[in-house]
Amino acid sequence: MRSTFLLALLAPACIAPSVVDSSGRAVALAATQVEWRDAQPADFDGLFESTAIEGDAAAAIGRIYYHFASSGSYTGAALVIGGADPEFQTLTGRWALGTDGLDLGDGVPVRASAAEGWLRLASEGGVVTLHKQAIE
Amino acid sequence: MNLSRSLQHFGVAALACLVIGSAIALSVVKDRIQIVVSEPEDPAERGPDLLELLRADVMELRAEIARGDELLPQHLQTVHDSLASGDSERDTALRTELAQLRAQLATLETRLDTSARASEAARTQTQDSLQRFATALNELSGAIAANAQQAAELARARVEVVPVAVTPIEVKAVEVTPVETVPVVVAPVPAVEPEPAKKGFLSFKVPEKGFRFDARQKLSIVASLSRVGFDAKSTLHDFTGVTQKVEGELVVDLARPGDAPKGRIAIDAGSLDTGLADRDEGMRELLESAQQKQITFAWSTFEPQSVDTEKQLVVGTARGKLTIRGVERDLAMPVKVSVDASKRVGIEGEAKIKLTDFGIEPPSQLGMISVEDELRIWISLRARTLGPVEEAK
Repeated sequence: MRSTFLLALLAPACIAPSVVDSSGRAVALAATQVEWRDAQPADFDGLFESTAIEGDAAAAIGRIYYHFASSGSYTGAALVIGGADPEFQTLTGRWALGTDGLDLGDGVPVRASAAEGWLRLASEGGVVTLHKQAIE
Repeated sequence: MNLSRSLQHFGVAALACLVIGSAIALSVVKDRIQIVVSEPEDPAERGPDLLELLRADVMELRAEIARGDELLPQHLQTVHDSLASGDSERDTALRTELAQLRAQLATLETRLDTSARASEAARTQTQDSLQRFATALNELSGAIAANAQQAAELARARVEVVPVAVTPIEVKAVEVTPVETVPVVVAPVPAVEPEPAKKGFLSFKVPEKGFRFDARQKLSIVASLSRVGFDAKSTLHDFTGVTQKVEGELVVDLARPGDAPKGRIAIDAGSLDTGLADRDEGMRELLESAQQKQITFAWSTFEPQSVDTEKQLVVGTARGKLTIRGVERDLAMPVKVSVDASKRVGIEGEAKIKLTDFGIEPPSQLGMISVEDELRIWISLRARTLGPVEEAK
């Protein structure tokens, strides 16, 4: 078996070494290469799932889901992991997009950016990048 | 007058006639009167014999009275016994209660004596302390007065400056004996943990206790964002083996990483991937991954080289035990620890090991083509905080 292993080892001898460079060891985070623009009401339609959470909130929230309806209602869920055990926290309310940004009903304006199929919400405590998902 | 007398005579005569007539009539008819009493032929028509019924009732009453006479002494005895037993039980209970009360009284008297003695001792100690304090104050006042007098004399002298020996004010240390307090037993009040403060993020309520660089906390490795691998050199071709099947938890205060860190990192030995299926199969045989499923590192100490709390960056050497194929060896791995934008802790490090140290013979063919004994193992981990831990360090 060792000979097989050695042969397999030597088989690619004629090709370039396959050692991973130290700079490439880390798992690359999914970079969202999109052109962000100010969000429009039409961008808030459908189910969105977070792909990245940054800032202080990231230490306590593992994932965020939002569903925005064109009627002006929304519902959201966040997997809060800062407590004893992870638990989903849910929200239901009405959303409105004004000159100050997105209002989720708590009076705290949220800076909202968008791209095709993407939303980016920035608030005190962090930034969340959301990708639109199909409801299957 | 004559009329009245005539009427009297007439009445007497009438009465006599009536008596005589009745006697004659009785003598005539007395033998013709016959009273016949006969019973009916049918007993049903005859009806109950009242006399017999009365007699039966009397007999029954007599029997009941006789039974009552017989039972009465027994009932009286039962009632007597019951009363006696109740008296005895109540007596016993009262005696027990009395004994308990006496015992409690004795305990209270003992406590009272102890408290009184303690209070007396405390009062005596306090008085002694106050006395010593007052004495010291008097001495201090005397010294101050003497110095004031000397100062006044010095002021009066004005022209002639004569060195005056100033008596130093000696402040004696007053030893205040701690007063022994009388213990007061207070029923424990159940601790009520305050609800952790929360702040808002996109309308969600987020716990305040998130990631803290300067707190001892538990970190859980995020497998999907972590990699562990090795770089090997062979005669003709160098290669890397890598896996993301990594798990583990670390407990550390990143601001004081040398303060009793601990943790365990494990990888699935059979999941190491070098990019060639045949080579991977041979490697799994060498590692005996079917039996020794995990390669583990038990982290026990950390030697910090630099800790930058502002940049949240730690550099140092992690030490622990590396176990490959069931063989455990010491390992020292220089690492760099950082915190990313998502408050995840990144750990990067590498170290060199020898296969032969773990009982693994490097593969070789004809003595010319072989894998080097020395490997470079490396980690690139991301871990998420699970919150602070309160355990003793």
